[in-house]
Amino acid sequence: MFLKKLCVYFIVLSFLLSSNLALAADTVLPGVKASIRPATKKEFKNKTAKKRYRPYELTITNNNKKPVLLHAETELRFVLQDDTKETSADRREIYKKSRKRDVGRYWGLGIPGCIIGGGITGITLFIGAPIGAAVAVGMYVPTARAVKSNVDVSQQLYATMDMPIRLEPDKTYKIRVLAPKHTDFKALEITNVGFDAKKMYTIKAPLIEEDWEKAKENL
Amino acid sequence: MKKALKLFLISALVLSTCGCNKYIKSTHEGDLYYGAYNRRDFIHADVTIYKKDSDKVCNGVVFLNAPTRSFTMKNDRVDAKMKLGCNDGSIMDMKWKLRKGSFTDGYGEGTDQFNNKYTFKTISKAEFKKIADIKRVKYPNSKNPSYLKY
Repeated sequence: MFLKKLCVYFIVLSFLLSSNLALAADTVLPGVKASIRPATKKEFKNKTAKKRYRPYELTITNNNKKPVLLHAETELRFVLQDDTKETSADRREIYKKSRKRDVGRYWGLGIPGCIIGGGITGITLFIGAPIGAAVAVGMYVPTARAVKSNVDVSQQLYATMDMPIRLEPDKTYKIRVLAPKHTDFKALEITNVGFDAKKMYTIKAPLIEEDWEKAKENL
Repeated sequence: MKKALKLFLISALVLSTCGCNKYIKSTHEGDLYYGAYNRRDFIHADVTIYKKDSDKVCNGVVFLNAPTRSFTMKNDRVDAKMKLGCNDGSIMDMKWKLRKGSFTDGYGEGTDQFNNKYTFKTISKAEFKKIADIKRVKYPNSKNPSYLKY
């Protein structure tokens, strides 16, 4: 009987503790002002990324006297209109999908293919070299275009899409955030941040409604 | 002649399909970190580093700024950012100078969120083998995602 009671107490206690931790993680970090607004057409021109994502600019100011530290568990979550939450893809995934398909990645197959194709046809029909040249030129043009476009994308992402690992006091950060195109959200949450790695908080950035018309332009 | 052609074709196939690890180690005084990055395309590479005599593992991504295909500037070093998340919760932000031709070599420095300083440089495979506790570097992928959530 005693053992049964002990078990019940243990289960209830563990449930309470776990729910408290969850609450602690959802506690909004005081002294940090954040907002998110849609990026304008001038600020973000990358058409390839716009096929999948809608660009936003996140502004965070740390008004505390201590720096706010991000954590390996820090995630970006979009709070949707029905209060459900959608976790953002990681930077690596977004970065990969933001780039134009790079034909250059097929050079490893293309060059041996040209050599084999050119060699065989050259030996049998004496026309290997022209065919090989045609294949090479045909691959070069889309490759060059893709690479040129990717240079622009990489420069843009390098310059703007960089989440800091710590938010220094009295400093404002502007970060580019790419949300999935059909995600209709009302706020962005940055989870698991704090002054040390012991207690975790959340930063909430509401979507600025007045810029909604600009957002539609970017669709 | 046929043998030479076969050899050439096989070597071309092997070279075209293999990934190329570039090994790195920390040069800052204190704890020793070692690992590697593996280029995935012209501008980004996956990275994993290990702390010597510890279970600490960090992985993430390194990406170059403004690569060009110019042959004349191929050996220039360009800016690159390395973002790592670790299994102990720390995250690292490092700035690198990498040779843009094929990420061949470079050096970098940065901090974690607690302001601990790290410096890294590329090393040879032989040097890596001397210091490494592991046989093979494991990179993040879709089955084993990076410790860095964003």
